[in-house]
Amino acid sequence: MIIWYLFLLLSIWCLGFILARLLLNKPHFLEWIGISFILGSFVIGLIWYILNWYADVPINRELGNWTIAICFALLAIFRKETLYHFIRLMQDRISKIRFRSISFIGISIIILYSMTTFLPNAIIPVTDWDALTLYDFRALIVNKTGFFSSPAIVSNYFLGYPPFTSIGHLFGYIFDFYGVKMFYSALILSLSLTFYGLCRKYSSSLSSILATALVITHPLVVSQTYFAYTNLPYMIYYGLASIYLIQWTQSRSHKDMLVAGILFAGSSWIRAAEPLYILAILNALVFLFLFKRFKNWHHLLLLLTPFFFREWWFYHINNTREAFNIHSPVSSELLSSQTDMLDHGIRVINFVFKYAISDFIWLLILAAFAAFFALKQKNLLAIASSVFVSSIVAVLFYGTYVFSKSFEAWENIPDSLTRLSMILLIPACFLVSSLIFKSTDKKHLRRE
Amino acid sequence: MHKPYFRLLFFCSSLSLIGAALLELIVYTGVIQAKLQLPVNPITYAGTLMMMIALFLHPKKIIGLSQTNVRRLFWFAVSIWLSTFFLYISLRGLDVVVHQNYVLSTWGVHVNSLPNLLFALTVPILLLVRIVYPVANDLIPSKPFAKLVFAGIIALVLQQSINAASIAVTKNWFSLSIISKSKSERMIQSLSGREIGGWIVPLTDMINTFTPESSVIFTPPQTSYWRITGNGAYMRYFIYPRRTIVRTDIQANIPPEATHVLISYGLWPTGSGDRGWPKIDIPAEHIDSYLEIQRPSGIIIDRTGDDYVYDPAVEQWGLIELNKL
Repeated sequence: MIIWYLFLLLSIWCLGFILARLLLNKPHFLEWIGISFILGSFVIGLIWYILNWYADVPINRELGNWTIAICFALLAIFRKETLYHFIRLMQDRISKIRFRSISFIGISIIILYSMTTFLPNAIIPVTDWDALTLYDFRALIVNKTGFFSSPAIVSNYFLGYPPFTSIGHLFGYIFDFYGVKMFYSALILSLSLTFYGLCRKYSSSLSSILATALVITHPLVVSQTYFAYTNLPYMIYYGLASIYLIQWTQSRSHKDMLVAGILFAGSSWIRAAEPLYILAILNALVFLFLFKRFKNWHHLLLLLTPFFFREWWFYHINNTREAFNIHSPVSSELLSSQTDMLDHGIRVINFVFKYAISDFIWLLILAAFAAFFALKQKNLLAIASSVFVSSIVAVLFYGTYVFSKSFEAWENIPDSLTRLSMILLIPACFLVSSLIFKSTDKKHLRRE
Repeated sequence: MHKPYFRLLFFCSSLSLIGAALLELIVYTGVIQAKLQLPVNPITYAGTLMMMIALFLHPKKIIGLSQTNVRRLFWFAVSIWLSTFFLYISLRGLDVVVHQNYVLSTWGVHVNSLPNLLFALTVPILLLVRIVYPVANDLIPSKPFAKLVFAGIIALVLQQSINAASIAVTKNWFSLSIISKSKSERMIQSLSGREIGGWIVPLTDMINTFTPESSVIFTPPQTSYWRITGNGAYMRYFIYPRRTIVRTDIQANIPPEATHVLISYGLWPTGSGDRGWPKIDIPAEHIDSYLEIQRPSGIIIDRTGDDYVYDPAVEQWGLIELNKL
């Protein structure tokens, strides 16, 4: 059964591969390989969900088989535009690879490490608390009944969380395969390839390898690799989207902005509660003025993709609530009986430092160095990354402050803040990778 | 300071760093931190500092050895590093596969200290690699500030990667040790075994076997020891489509809609005290069937006909089917 599961993952990758051909602007070949799975799993999941909800197509083995057949057929049809093009791209690169070079050894170790996460995730079934109460339970019920509209999983509790990881688990369950956490390993592998490819466009191979190692071996990421929670996928989609947005400031290509928009929409498909895409729009506006990209202002409209996507999702769950006669949850009002502002503010700052910043303190110090060098060398890409990183840090403080005003027991759940703060990691490491180490393509960095 | 003395000082401190790591290996992890009452582990921070210094030293002048001997020394250090790494992986594996603390109890070695030794061993390697492979100098940035940042990144990556590798190895060994088992046995093992969290699997297996799908099971409130068996959302995963019913009062009587009562001794691992539940007696005439399940063996004993008597001194797990008449 695992064979069919792997075929399905491969077919998802194939679909993403075609999409990546359309969307990416001058990709590094590893970036292309990696982002394919990330795009594909978002698109396939969305298609399955829409077919299931609006067209009553049950999610079962048959749908899995059709998905495999269609995706492979699509790749076969468009082989000239995609595969052959990719092979040509790779031939250029591969002829340059020296097998004893530090970049080849480094990326091999990183890939090898990512591969080792597949074995435990294939063997150990899902046993993590939140997954059992929510994501995996929803997957089990859909596997049993075939539908997301089964009464057991239509309640405010389930509607509060989009079904990305549940569908990720269903990829295995429909083929009676229970090692569904392999999906997270596949995401980690894709992340390491994509991130290396993205960094490699702008920095030397050594700094790209070190930055990739910083991302995938960070203690929080390592622990989440073996957990069936939504935080790791969220970090991957949000972080990579932010890098495409940062890349846009230099490439000025609408394609980069479109990929960023799609990936931000993907992050809303994983966790809808936090509207963090707004941060991206604000950053894009800052970039517009900071780098004087006024000619390309209309590209910013592409960043509305996550906005429309999220609006659709809320419209959809509101409709569901009406159809199933569920009362929407009482929106929490701001607590007025708080202690004085200053005291409360200090408590929030301490809390965020203790549970979010302390895990990244060394990385942030390095990022601060990198930002310093970026300003000195007028490395625009790194300046853009530092703006993004600092805005995330600011939003962690601000978000916690707002949350603490609306939820009295806010100090009792530090774990979710720690896991949310993982979105810092990818942009911060991208910033660190842009450091000093003999940039290969300085022309690209200093176009102005 | 005069340069030769500085070099001597550097070598002595790099040796004492390794010595400190070896000491922790035998005594216990974090002994130096505890004895000196420091807020952080000195080995990691001293190691990072020395990596930074190492990048500032001019490696050609540092050792009075011939090129051949330096090469030998380098490969000796690398082989020690690699063997320590593989030793670490194997010892971790033994701890996972045989039992926890197996290595400590057998050979008296603290496995958790080995990453610090690996960290300490990297300092001389970082220094020697630049003599053996002069090309490595090209990789190191030339500006002093950049050198500091570079050393910081290397130290951070190294520390994280060793930990990540250790977690990956632990997970891989663990998964290999359960590969031949059934799905529910794998689940028990990954929930820390039948004595702790994994007990939920045999317990709910019993519920699924002996109750119809329409049953409503009265469970303890989700407090203190009953945070697992009292969590409706968690229990639902295992016993769906059966429902659970909960009262917030721990002494509450059985609600009328309940068809079954779960006898739960409290699965939350921490704390000691009175774990028994339900804290009321149920006479035999209200009971249709009374099953007791023994932890950890999972043996089920039919005690139908007996009264359920609440006794805080006895560990009891089971299921009571209520008589509705």
